[in-house]
Amino acid sequence: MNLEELGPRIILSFAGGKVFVTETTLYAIIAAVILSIVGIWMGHDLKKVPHGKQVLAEKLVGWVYDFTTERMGKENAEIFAPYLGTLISFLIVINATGLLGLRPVTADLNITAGLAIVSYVTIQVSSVKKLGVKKRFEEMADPYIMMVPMKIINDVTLPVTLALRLFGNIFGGMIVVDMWMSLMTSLSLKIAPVPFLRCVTVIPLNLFFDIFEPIIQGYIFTVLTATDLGEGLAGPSEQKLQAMENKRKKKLEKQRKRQQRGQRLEAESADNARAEAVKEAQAIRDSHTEEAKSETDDARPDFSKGARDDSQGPDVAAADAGGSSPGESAEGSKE
Amino acid sequence: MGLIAIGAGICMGLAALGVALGQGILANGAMNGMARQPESSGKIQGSMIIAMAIMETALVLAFVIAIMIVSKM
Repeated sequence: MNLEELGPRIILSFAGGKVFVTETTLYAIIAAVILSIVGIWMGHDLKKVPHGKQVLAEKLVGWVYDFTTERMGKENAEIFAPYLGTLISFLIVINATGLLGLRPVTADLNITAGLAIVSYVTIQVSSVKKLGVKKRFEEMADPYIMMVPMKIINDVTLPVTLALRLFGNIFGGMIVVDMWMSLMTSLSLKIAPVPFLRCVTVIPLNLFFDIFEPIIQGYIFTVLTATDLGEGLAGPSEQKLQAMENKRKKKLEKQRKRQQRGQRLEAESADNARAEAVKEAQAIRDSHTEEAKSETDDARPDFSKGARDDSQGPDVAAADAGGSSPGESAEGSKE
Repeated sequence: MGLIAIGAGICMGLAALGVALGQGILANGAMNGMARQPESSGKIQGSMIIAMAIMETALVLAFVIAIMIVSKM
């Protein structure tokens, strides 16, 4: 087995060997064109009562929509079921080109990496678009905040394993079939100049590697994409939302209690201040009345019902509340 | 050159050992389940195939590494 010739052959090359088109890309483009023609032909003349090829088409589409609803919920399934249907049908056709004697298309790491990157970008972008960046982070911290690194690792290894799994399976199948064919050639060249043993003996291998494996691997790729899409779109679970609500309520309760306590303290201090001011005013009044009694009454102007000067503060207000005129007039006379 | 071959052989051998054990345990559980309730055997078979393919991933990654080792020879 020659290890230099394992890769795909180059068919066209431009710009002196820097930009080239391999046989893999060509076969993939041909397969895509054929699939789209078959799809358009199957769904172009729809009648109310299905008849003929419409039965098969309806069954396929119904199966894809059921498969998507099972993993994502009904409203998301309307958006993403076409993508998953395309993915699975394209993958099954592409993996099975070994049946035609050509080199299988997905035995090239570029194709599988492209599909895995498309799936990964779809998952991340649609998840952020639906939930917002903050909610996505909270979803990752679902039971406990230390789950975030593990979920990040889970997210990052997803496209890597998707691409490598598909590539490895189909590539291994291709190598086994190639080795069997070269064995048959070398065996039959000992008997006759024509390699006739290549004809029918390879059918069991083809049955396994070119019919069973493509279907399984296509299904696995689609199932993993769909499951991760569903998880990404779902958001934090019920229990986590409940826990966050309880936390927020507790915080609000604490704030409210603090405010109330603060207000109560202010009110109490204001009351205390007022009571002390009243006592002070009373004391001053008593001392003034004693002094006033010692003075004569003529020298005392009557300021009891005059204009109140509010800028003097609680002393004057408290004295007014007390309603005793001698204190005020005594203050006025003092100044 | 001999050590490269030994390396590739050990790589694939250990991977195959692990995968075979894991898939055997899974098949055991699946057979038990199907024997208990024959009417749910379709669902069990479907899930069994998917789980087997997930286990094959480790084998396939080891295979890719073995190819990379051998092609340096």
